[in-house]
Amino acid sequence: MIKVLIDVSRYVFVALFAIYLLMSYRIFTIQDEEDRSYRCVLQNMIMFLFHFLAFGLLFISSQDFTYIWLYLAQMIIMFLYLVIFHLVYKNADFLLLNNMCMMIMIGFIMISRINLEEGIRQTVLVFLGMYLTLIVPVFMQKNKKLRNIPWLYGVIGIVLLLLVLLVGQAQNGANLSIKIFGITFQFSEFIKIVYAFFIAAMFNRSTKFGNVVLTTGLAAVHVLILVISKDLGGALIYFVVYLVMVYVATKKAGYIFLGGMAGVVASMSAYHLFAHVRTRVYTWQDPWSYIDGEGYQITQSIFAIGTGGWFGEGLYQGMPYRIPMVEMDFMFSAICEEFGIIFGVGIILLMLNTFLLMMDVGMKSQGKFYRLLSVGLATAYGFQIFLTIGGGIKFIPLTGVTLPLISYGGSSAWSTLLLFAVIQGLYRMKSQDK
Amino acid sequence: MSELDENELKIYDSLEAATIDNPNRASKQAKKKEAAKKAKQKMNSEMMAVVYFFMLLFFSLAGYLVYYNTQDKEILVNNTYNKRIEVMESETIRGSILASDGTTVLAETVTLADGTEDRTYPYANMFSHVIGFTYKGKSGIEKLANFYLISSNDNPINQVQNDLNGLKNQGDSVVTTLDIGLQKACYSALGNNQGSIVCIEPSTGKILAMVSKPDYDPNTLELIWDTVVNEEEFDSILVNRSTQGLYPPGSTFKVFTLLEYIRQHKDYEDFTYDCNGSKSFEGVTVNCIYGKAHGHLTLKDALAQSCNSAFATMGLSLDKELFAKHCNELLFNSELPLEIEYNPSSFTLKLSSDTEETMQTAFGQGETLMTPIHNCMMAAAIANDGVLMKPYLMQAIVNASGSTIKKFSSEKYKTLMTKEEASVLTEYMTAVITEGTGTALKTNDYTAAGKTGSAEHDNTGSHHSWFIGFAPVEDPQIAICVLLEDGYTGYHSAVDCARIVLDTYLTGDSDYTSSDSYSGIYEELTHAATE
Repeated sequence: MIKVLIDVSRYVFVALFAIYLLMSYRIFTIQDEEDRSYRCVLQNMIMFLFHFLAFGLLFISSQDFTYIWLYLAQMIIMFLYLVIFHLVYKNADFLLLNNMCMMIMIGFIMISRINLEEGIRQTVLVFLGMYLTLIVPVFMQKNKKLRNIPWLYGVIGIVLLLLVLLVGQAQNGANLSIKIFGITFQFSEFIKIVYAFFIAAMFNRSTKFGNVVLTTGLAAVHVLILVISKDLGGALIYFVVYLVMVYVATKKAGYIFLGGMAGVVASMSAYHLFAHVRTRVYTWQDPWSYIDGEGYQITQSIFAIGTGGWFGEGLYQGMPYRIPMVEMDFMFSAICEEFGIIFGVGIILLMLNTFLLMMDVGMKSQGKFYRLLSVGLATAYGFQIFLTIGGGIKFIPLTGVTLPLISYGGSSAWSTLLLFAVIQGLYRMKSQDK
Repeated sequence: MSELDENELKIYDSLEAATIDNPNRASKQAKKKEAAKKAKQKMNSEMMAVVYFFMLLFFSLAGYLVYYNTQDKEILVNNTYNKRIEVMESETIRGSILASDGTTVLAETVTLADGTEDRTYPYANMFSHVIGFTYKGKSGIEKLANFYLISSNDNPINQVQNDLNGLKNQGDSVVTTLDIGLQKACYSALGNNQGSIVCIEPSTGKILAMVSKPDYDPNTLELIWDTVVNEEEFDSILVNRSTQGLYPPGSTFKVFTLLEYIRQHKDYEDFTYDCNGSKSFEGVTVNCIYGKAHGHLTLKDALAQSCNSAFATMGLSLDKELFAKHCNELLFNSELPLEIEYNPSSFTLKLSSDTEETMQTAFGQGETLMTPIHNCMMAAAIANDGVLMKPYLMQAIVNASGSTIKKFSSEKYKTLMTKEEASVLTEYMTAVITEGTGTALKTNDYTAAGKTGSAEHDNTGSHHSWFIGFAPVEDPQIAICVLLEDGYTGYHSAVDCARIVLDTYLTGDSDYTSSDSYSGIYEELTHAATE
């Protein structure tokens, strides 16, 4: 009987998610605020239904009552958050908020399914981050001088990255994190927001050649530190964020060309200089030859997606835990395995929708600083998704970055929450300026 | 700049107020304002470029994901490292393997009264290597089609019923390309000899038959497993000689040398050679078989009579590097487009090779090694105007109620030679049958083209016997490769064996299809195991 239930659930999940997505894209085109928020509330209901069914299935399959408690906690705290958000911010991008919550819920479901303890930990961390970042939009509004302190951003960024490099503990062969009071912080996740502030503020001052050179130099220092820290994914994201921002700010496509050339030269030399870069490339080209070594992770990811097929194996029916580090780097593969490839395409479209919302906020913002800032943040968000999903499906070499809001990990979740909060702040400012 | 932005806006606001007083000035300002707006919009167009770029990135992700799932991922995920497969295996009744007619069962799983499952192979030894086994590992089609056999695409009602009754779902079945009659003919034609017969349909690449001996009975493999695995004497019975056996190609390789000669010598039709039974060059002498002097030969005669001396002479005139390059294009030293386990053939002639190796290589001795399937693929390509179709074993996947789930179609793999080259080879190979070493295949019932070969594999003078060919010449239905290992009995050479198979397939003469099974090493084994 359970098997029938699971079989049916595969289609129900895809259908629910499809409805959610269609609404997202529909709401995107609607200008009328009232209509928008009405539809957004409907969307919330679909999200809660999805969450309910998923946890119901998890409980039935595992017979573990912890799932029920966890479900209740998540449902109530999420509901409260939405209520508070709506009360505090009458004027906000509710679609962006919904997408954020939907991704968080999907993350909760998958992490709890893979590892219940981690699921609980993640629940606590994410909610803490959500409630804390509630204050950010107000803060943005009150502090219009944020655009005037580029040097501060630059110094904070470089100093903290250096700090991680020097004292950070080696984690998975990369100096990515630092432990403070027993909590592990992965600074590069947070600093990428500061970094976007830095570039936006620099170009806000001037886009004359001298200033562009100066900014480029300082941005390059960021990237270089990350490369030395062996944080390839991070370095790539920082690099692309810079390229996109310099292009938008100067309106000169030539910079992209120059930057692209520099990028090619840099990747070539990284390939020749670092063994770990070469390994990534080999295991991307032919993981099968390294199946019991460096290629193990990616081949397991391919097995997960391939075995799942269009509609997946059903929640709790697959073996996502077979992929090493699945809850960090391969959440997309885990989702594809159990919810199916159609659902996976849906996730990509949901994230695209979110990206478009961020860009839309940028286009409607007043003032160069805010526009550049939203472009930078949207790029950081979008490119990270491209890297992690592309790596997991063997479209591009693995870079080991997380899937924002879905992967396990406090730093990743908090920095993304902060990023969303900043965008919400920008949204409020543009609509108030009207 | 940012201050300016704000200031600008303020200015515009104040200007708007001024408009009322001074229309002239206002229109100027309005233009300026428009220009500023345009500038602003221009930044929007950069932002739009970013949007389009990211849409491209995201769509290519989604596209790749979908594309990937429409590829043959069934074969990709069918890997011992994929533990999900084991779960699927335990949840499904393994599907059947069927012959090309779609009804004859070659392997099926029956559930016994006590609930245990038993994999049975009705034709026992006849299909042993090509169907393979699924016992402590998998081989052959059992391995190739594993994912299909353990996936159930039965209709949903049955699936729900099975689920409610606590029964397993029936896995899908695989319809192979194997022709039951032809396989029978090949199996009995090979008789008690060790060796292999492979048949391919040249126009599609369908593998029609594949026999390898010594063989085994997959029904009782568990009885002999330990002996087979542990004792060297027996370990080769699991080897599929058709795809894994590497043999010196002997005179069948002359077809390759001939092709290379035609390619390097535009005036190949003017070639003549006077054979006196041997050829000496730089102190190296090669002999024709039995030291026979073939006399005055054209190029066609040289192939038809299989004159070693003539081919050694031709070999010496070839650009060795180019020869090696072309042989690599003909799939030596490279991957074969095959779905089951195989070994790649090797061709080692290079610029620095000495005279002896060059001469030996030209008529198929030397260091060259080939698998029977590779040689058969070559015959098939010649028959198909130079185009090699990808050889395949699976025709279709059908579910438990017989509806087709997936169809495999034939696909071109590679053009190995031009149509003209193929037709010259066909003409010369026809001469082999009509007036050369292959006259055993000369019949009024059909035309055939081919090449015989005997390959010395040590210095004792004993040899393997080869035949590759296809028939009918006008409209080739079948390409065949026969290999009889050294010590074969019952035939003068492999071409006699090919005659029996081709007669059966092309004329329906089934005199030879009595299926007396191979005895010998295998009987000994089962005997020992049961004692």
